[in-house]
Amino acid sequence: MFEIKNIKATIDNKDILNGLSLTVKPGEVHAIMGPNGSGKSTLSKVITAHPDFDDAEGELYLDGKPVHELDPDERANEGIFLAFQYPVEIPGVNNSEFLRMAYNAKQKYNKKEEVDPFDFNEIINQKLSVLNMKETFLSRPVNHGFSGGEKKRNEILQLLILDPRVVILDETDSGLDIDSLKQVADAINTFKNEDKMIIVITHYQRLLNYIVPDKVHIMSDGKIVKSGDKNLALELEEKGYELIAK
Amino acid sequence: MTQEITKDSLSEIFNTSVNDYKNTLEKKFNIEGFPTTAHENWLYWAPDHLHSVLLNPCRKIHETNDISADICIVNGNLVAVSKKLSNLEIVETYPSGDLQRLNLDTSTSSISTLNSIQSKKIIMITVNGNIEDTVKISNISSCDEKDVTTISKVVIKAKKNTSSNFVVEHKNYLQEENAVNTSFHIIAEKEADLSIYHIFKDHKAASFFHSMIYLYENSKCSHLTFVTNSRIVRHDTEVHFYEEGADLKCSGVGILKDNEQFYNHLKINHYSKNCTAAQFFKNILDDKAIAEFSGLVFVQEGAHGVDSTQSNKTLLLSDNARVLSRPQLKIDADDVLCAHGSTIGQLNPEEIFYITSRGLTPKQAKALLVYGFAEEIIINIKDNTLKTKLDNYIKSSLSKINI
Repeated sequence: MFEIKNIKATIDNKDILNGLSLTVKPGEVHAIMGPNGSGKSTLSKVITAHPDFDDAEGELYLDGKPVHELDPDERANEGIFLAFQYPVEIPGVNNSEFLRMAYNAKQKYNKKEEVDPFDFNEIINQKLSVLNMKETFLSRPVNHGFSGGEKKRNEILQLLILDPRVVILDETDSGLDIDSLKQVADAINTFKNEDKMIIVITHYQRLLNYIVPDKVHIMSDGKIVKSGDKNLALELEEKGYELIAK
Repeated sequence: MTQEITKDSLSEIFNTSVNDYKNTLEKKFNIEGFPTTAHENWLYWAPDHLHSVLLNPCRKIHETNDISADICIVNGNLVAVSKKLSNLEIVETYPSGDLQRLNLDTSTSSISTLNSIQSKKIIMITVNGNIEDTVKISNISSCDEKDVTTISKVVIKAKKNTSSNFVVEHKNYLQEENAVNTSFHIIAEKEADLSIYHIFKDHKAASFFHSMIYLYENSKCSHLTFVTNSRIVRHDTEVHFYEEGADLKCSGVGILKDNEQFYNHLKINHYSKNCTAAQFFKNILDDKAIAEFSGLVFVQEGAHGVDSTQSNKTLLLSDNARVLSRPQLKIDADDVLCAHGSTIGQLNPEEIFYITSRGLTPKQAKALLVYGFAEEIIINIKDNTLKTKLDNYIKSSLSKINI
């Protein structure tokens, strides 16, 4: 179970998150929707320990273990993964090598044996086929020169390789055409099982047609103002944020 | 103080005797004198304390050899050549006839004039046909005397329609009070394709290095310089696009720490039409290291259709490191495409966060970003053995930097 308890965060003395709490049980998909500036992306950054929010308050527990005091790498290795809205480019660093380093960092953290490039190739090739990605994708520098859609698919490839417990998809649907959106959603659905906890941050209902949420939450002014089942997203699409949040 | 070199002006001393030729150079040197910080190209460092050292060439031939190299040069003397080399002619010769004109390099600096005056011999390497494997040259400076300069002058001539790759390891075993003065002349004849990679690593004595590149019709030249863990390296490159359609890729990486200094000056002379040149140089500076990039692209009248770019990027890992970057364009022709740019920055916290969010420690994340910064140049090397070697040098250099 992943518990977010009373998270508060500010930036430049402005309150962004105002005591947000949320519990995601294993096997559940939660969607967080909300207008621009409601704090959705800040929530994802606080969960993953972005240095801009070092002074954020509140607590995070993964299966009862407190993770809110951990650094970003430690949280990642505990099994928390953020698929970035704007993935960062790393020129000069081979995508495959980066993925192997990340994979081995987790192996080492969990006191498991690290894998050599040969064995890692087998692991990665299986995942590539899930996303219908070509092998040439691996020899390119991380996200450098990638199209918007390729960057998002690369995030999902990382997700499949690192196999986290908690996944936050921060507007993964933005910049994706309908075919890519479906491919990405299919990959996430393949990844999904009774042990995984997925938080989908999105503006639009369309992603939720493919990744069906168990719960939908609406954020406004840094907190959750309304929760419901998947129909809430449909209602939101129809009525808009202003009406629904009342 | 300096004069432009053109094909026509070379004929003046083309066939003079060695003595006359040396006298001409000596006259030039006497007029020019040693460079000082008053000179445009020596604004930030001049070898004021090295005058007597530079005027005192080391004449000792040490019996050093480097069996890993195909061609081994020690203090300017050819000491070993691998028997397995084919399509390659290597001779020690004297600066007469055709070779005299190659030594008219006075427009780079008076130090290179001094190199021509003091060079007893020239190592002449002629590529007569395609060479598949990379030719390894070890250019060794080794002398147990004090306050001396080792001199070497090498000419690599790639004949028409040939293809070849060279890696030159400049091994400087001299102590700090000495200096090294080296010249490499690269001639790519019509349709020749030549790559040359220069490695400067672990130099205690100051290194003065002059690269002269002469490109003829539709020739291609890749030129890379790698500098690390070296106290002072001054590199002057002068490129002459003599004929149409030639292509140059000129790049380099400097990884400097402590009080290390790397001064990198380039002048790209476009005399001919439809030539392309891309310069891409990167430096990583820590502690109190200093790097200078000064690149001038000169497109002369009538050299239409030229595409010439220059980019210099520096990563500063310390508040005390300094970078001086001067990309310059001088264009006297129409219908040309020229661009220049320079960036200086530190590691981006968002990039560090991204990598740490994948489970790597902040130290690993920073090391990876710095490595990637340098690797963007190295990645273009075709020879995988060399690429791995430079990769390892980068990793070794970064391990000494406090990231």
